[in-house]
Amino acid sequence: MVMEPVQSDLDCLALSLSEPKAFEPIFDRHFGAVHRYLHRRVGRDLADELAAETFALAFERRASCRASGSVLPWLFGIATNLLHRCWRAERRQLRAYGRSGVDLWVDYEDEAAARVDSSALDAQLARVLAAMRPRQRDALLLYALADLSYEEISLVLDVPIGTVRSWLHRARDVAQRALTSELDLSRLAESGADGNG
Amino acid sequence: MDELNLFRDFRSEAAPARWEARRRASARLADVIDLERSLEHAVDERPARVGIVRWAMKRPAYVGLASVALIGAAATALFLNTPWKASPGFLERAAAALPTPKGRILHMKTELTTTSTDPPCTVTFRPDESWADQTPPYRFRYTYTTPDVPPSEIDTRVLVCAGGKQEEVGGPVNARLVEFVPPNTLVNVSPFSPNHPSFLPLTQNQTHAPDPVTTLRAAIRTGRAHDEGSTTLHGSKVERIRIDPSPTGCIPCPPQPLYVYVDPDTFYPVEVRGVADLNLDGVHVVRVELNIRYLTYEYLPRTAANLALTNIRAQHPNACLKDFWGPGSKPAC
Repeated sequence: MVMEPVQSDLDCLALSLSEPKAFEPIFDRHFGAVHRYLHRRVGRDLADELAAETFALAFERRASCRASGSVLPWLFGIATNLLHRCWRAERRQLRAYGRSGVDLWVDYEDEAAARVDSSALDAQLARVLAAMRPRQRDALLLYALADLSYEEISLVLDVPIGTVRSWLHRARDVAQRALTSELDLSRLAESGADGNG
Repeated sequence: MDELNLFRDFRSEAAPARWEARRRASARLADVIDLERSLEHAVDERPARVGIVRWAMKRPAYVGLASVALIGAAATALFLNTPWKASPGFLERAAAALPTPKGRILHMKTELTTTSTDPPCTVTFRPDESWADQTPPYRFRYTYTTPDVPPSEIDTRVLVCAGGKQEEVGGPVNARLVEFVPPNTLVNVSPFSPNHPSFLPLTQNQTHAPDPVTTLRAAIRTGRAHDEGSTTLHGSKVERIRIDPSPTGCIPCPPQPLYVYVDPDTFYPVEVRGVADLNLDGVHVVRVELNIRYLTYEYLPRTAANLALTNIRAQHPNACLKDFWGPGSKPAC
């Protein structure tokens, strides 16, 4: 059996400039990750649309890709830019999820388990995310959901790395304050010391 | 504890992409790849320069302005999409006789006249013209007239009586449109963009190229149409077909039946007449009579020269191509 060597993302990208179909392995490798990132940000329906749009745009913009290894961070950047078109929808979803504790937008692998196990913390996190500025939220979720480094976030958002550090520092502060105060309220409520007991 | 790490588990149980979503995305990418390949092969064209345009190019009024120009397109879409009622005689013969358009390019030239009583006016727009390849990815090019009204005057009552200016768009069906912007720029318009001129009949949910006959052929088997017999129109014998309003699926839906006049021998459309209630500003509703005359309706062979007619980039080989995205990219034009 002859094993064909697996071409790197950059090889595929370079080859696709002369042979467009060479771009297809990039879709095969990364569609799942990009869709998952979008799914966790804006729910399944928008993720379906935006993930398709991400790869169509990536193909058209491939000549300007500045990646030095995997093109995944670059794809996350495109997806994040596309998300700007629906940041209001994202905020509405997060607020509603934060208020109700019910996530109506995301499809879960195990619906029942996911609702029970993760909804309490996730709803808290949704409230925190809803309170953040869009760019700050982008930076945080590229870091936490897409697992990008500060340098990669800086590249894909096209901002200096110092700005990324600053955004994430503020995001950490916001999260710390919000979660601490929510935790305190929750403990007060549980102990009946909130004035009602 | 680093609070940021808490977010790593946010919605971590989200399910993977469904097969259908993956298939649709893959098909979308294949269309874009095919577009580029066919451009390289069918037309001797230098690569368009690629740049970006920020969202500053938004024209909030665009959709409204385009919509009035698309009165005709909407009426035509109704003709395209309305199922025809199977009835004996003419419609059965039409179903049997209609040609299979694959491997051809449909060339249509239509002239739209709108008549309103309040406000009182009759406007005949300059002819719309389209070339639609009947082979996947069903590339088309469409020149049409849109009212020449400044955004500050968007008012249904003004728009229905406004004169027009010529615009041009193109692309494969179910994909992003490319719009020509004078003097020499092609702008890639995403369906997510507020600039997207909402050519619903041409760009979304279509499984074939824009062609009344393609739909007619399929729709006669299952639909709701009534053959009202022969009559004379502009000195020629035609067959009149009444299409009752569809309960779903068309915006704006004509409130009354639409009448389609077709050539009794070829079954090609000759004229469409109907009524539409237009509400283009969200405030005022104006009833207009529509009259769409088919000045040209023909199938062209799929030669390189005719394919170039379906291809907006081939028509503007030296135009600068602008896009709406590109992290780190700078406008090239």
